[in-house]
Amino acid sequence: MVSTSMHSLETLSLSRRRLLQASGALIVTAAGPLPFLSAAMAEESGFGATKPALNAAQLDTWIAIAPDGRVTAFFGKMDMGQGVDVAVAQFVADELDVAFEKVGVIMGDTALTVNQGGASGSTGVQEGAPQLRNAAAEARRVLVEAAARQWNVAPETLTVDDGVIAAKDGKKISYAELIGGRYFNTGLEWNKKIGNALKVKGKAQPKKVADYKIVGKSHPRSDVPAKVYGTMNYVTDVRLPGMLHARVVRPPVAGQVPASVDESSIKGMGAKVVRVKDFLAVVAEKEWNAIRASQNLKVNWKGAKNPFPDQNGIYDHIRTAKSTKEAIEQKQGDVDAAFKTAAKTVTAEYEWPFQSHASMGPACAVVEIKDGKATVFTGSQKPHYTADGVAAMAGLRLEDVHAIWVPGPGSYGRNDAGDAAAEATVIAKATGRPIRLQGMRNEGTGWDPKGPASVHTVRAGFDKDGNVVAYEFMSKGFSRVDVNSNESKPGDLWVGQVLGADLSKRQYAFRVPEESYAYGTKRMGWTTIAPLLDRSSPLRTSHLRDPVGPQIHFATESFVDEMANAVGVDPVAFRLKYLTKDRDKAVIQAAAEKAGWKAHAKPQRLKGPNGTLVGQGMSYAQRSGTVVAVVAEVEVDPNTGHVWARKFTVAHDCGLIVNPGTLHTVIEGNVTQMVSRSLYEEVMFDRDNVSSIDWATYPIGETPDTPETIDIVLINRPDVPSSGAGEPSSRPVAGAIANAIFDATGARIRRAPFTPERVKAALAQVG
Amino acid sequence: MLPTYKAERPRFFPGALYEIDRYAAVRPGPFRPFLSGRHNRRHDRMSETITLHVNGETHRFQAEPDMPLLYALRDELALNNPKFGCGLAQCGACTVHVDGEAVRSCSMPVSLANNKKVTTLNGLGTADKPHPVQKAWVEEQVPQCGYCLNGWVMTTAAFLAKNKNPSDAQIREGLAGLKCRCGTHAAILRAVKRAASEMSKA
Repeated sequence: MVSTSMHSLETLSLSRRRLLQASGALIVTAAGPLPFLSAAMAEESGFGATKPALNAAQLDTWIAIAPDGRVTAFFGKMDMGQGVDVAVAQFVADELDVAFEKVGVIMGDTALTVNQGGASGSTGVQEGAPQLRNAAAEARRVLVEAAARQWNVAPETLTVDDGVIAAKDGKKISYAELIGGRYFNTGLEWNKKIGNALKVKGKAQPKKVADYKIVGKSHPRSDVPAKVYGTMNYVTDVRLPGMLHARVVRPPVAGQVPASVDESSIKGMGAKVVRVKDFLAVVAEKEWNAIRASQNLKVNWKGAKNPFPDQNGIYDHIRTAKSTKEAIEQKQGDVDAAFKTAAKTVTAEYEWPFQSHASMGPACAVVEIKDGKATVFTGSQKPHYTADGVAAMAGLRLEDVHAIWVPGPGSYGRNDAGDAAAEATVIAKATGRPIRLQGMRNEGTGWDPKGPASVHTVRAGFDKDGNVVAYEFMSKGFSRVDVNSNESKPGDLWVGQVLGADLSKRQYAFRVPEESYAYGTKRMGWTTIAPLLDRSSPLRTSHLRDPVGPQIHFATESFVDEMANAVGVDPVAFRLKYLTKDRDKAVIQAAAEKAGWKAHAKPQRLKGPNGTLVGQGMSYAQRSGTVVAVVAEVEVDPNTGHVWARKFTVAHDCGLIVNPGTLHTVIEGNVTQMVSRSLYEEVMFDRDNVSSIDWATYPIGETPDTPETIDIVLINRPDVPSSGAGEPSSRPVAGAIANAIFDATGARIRRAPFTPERVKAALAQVG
Repeated sequence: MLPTYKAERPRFFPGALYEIDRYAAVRPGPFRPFLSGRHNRRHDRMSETITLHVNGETHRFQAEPDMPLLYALRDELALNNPKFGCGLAQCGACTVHVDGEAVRSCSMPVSLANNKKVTTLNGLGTADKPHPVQKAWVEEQVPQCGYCLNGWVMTTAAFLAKNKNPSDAQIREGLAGLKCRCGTHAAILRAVKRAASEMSKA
C-alpha cells in the first residue's frame, strides 16, 4: 500500500525564502494524497490530465490503474490514524488480485473523492469499505472480460495473479497493458445517496471471504513511518504564498459580543484587527505577532453576565429543566403494571459530565479565496461537510469550494476542526488574503463542541424469586446534536452562530443503550433539554467519540451489577441469564475466561499491594453490530480514593476481522481514552464561562495512569460482515471500572468521573 | 507499583517548570511564559540576530529575543516537526533537543537557544538511519493521529540517553506530563521498552 500523504523531507528542509518561492510545490504535496495522480503526474504517467467528473455511478470515480500497474482507490470516508485506509486497500487488493503494496488509497480531497460521509460512527470499514470492495470487484470483472474477448475464451477460464491475467494456454496480459492510464467508462449501480448511506455495486459479485488472502492479515499502516520520521505535513504545516496568521478573539463571558475595540492596544505588534459584525479576530504576517495581539487586544464586551448556572447544580438543572423532546425507543410489555406487582424494586441514578474533545492540538485550517473559488485545508474528519460550511460562510456555491484534508491534531467526533475552517473562511473573505488559523489551547479545550452532560435513571422490579419482571431506563440530558456532527450549516458553526445564523430549528436527540437483555418487561427512552446558552456557547453539545454511548452504558452496566447484587447473583451469571444473543454471551464468556473471573455474589473487597483494595468488574455493550465485553481490574487506595485501572480484558466481536494488528491498537486506544474519561475528565465552568481550558484544568490520563495490561480477545466471524471498531470498545469501559470499584470496596460510584474525592465520599458511606 | 496520585502529581513537566524558572532568572523582564495567560505587553522590543544550528545547518535571522523558540523554528525556518499543542509546556508536542536536552520549545525564549545546537525529529533520525526510538515506534505501530508523537519520541530519546535499562515504573514516571489524546500509551510503553533494550545492546 502506498502512503496517502507522504511529504518529502526535501520540502520540509527548504529555507523560508526558498519555501515561499517553492510554495506552489508545497501546496501540491500538502494536498498530499497524490502519490501518482496529481495533475502533472497524471499527465506524465499517461492519464489524461482531466479525470472524468466525479460521479458515484462511474467506476473511474472509485478505482484507477496507472500505466505501471499501481492501483488507486478513491475513498470518500476518512482514516484518522486507525488504519481504515489499510482495510480499504486490503479489500481492493484482494478483489483485484493485486499485491497489497500496489494499492494506494486517496481520501479526504473533495475534488478526488465522493462524499461517503467522512469519519462517522465507526462506519469506515462497515459502510465505507464495501463500496470500494464492490468497485474493485467490478474493475476485475471488466478487465478479465476484456482479456477474454481479446483471446476469444470464456472469462471463467482466466486467472489473475498480482495484476496479470493468464489463460490456460499460457497467454498473459497485465492490467497495466489493458487499461493502465486510461479510464474504465463503466457504470455502477448507485443508490443516489451521499454520505454514510451511499452504496454502489457493479455486475460482479465480490469474492467469498474464504477466498481472501490479504483481508484478515495484519498489514501495517503507511502513515506511521512518515509520522515517526517527521516527513509528513499536518494541516498546521500548510503554508500558502501571501498567507496571514489569524487568531480569533473570543469573549471572556460566554455569549458576549464586542461593544468597542481599542485597536491602539496592539499598535506596534505587527497585527491588525479583523471585525465582521460581532466576530473578532486579529491577523499578522508572523504567527507570534498574531498570538500576542490576540492576547493584548483591548475589547469592551457587551451582553449579559452569568449565562450559566452554578456547576454544582448542573444535575439538578438537568432533572428539573423543561423537556424539549422525548422518545421511547424500546418497549416490551406493560412495564407499569409489572412494577405494581413487583415484590422488590431497585432504583439508581447516574450522572455524566460535559466532556471536551481536547484534541492534541487546537484545530487549524488554512483557507484561500481567490477568483470566486475557495480552497480549504482542514484536519476535519468530514472534509466534504467542511466544504459545505465553507461555502455557506463564504457565500459560494459548493462546486466552487475545494476541501483538502491534511492530517490534523486528532479527531474523536465533531471537534473544533469545522469551526476553524469556517472562521478562517470569514477572515479570508474579509482580508482578501489566504489565512492560516490555529486556535490556542484554551480554545481547543474551552470552546470546542462538548459531549453532553446527562442524568440516567434506572429502575428494576423483581418478583419474589428474584427474577427481573420490570425494567426502565430513562436518560435526560443535553442534545447530542445541538450542533450537528456534520459541520455544514452556519447554525452548526461557532462563527455562524456569532454572525446570527437561524437557530430556530434546533436538533434534539439522544439515544438508548444497545444490548440484548430480556427482562419481563422493558422500556428505554430519553428526554432532551435546551442548551444553557442559546448562541455561540462554549457548551454547545455534539458528537464526542461514541456519542452518549459511554454515559448510557455506564448507567446500564453499573445497574446490571446493582441488580445482581440486590438478588445475590454473580454479575457474569446475571448477564448470561438475561442476555438473548449468542454473540453477546460469547464475548462475556470469553472476557470472563481470559480474565480469570472469580464468581461472586457480593463485593469481594480483596486486599491488594500497598494497602489497596482490588476488584474485578464486568461490562458489555453492542454497537451497530459489534459486541464487546470488558473486565476491568482496579486498585483502590482507601485512604486517598485514588483508583488505578490496572488491567483490562476485552473480548471484541466485529464480525469478519480485516486487520487484527490495527484492530488491536484501535481497541487499546478506546480503552485508554475511556480510562481517562471515566477517571479524570469533566468540563468545569463558572457562571461566566468554561474554566477548564488547558491540560492543568482538564487533565487526561498519562503514562502513570496507563493500564499495566490490556488483554484483547479478538473473536473472528468470517460469516458475519465486518462492523465497526472505532468506538464500540469505548462504551463498556466506565461501567467495568465502576463495577470493579464496587467489587473492591463495596462502594457504588454513580457520578463520573470517578475522582479520588468522589471515591472517598462513596467509601465513607459504606464505612 | 501504584502510580502516584493524579492530584499530587505536578501537572507540568517538572523539567519544563524548572527551565521556565531558570529562564525567568536569566532574563528578568518581560518574558513570562504562557502559563500566566497574557504575556509580553512591551511594545518596543528590539530584534536581535539569532544563530541556531539546527540539524547540522546554521541559520541566522532577526527575531525578538523573547519569542518562543517554537515560532523561530516553525515560522522563520519552516521546520514543522515541533508542533503547537498548548503553548504552556504542558503537553510536549513542541519538544526539540537543545544541546542534547529535551526542551519544550513553546516556552523557551529563542534568545536562550542562541548559538546552540537544536535537533528536531527528523534530525534525530531518518527512515534510512533511524534512531532506535523511532525504529521502535514504527515496529510497535504507535501513533494514531500522531500529533503528539514528536514530544514522545524526542523526550524518550533524551530520557533513554540518561537512563539505561529503566524499570517500568521509571519509564512511567519519566514520561509523565506528556499527553496523547488518542490513548496510544500502551503502545508507547511497549516501544520505549523495545528501544531501551535495543539501546542497551548497542
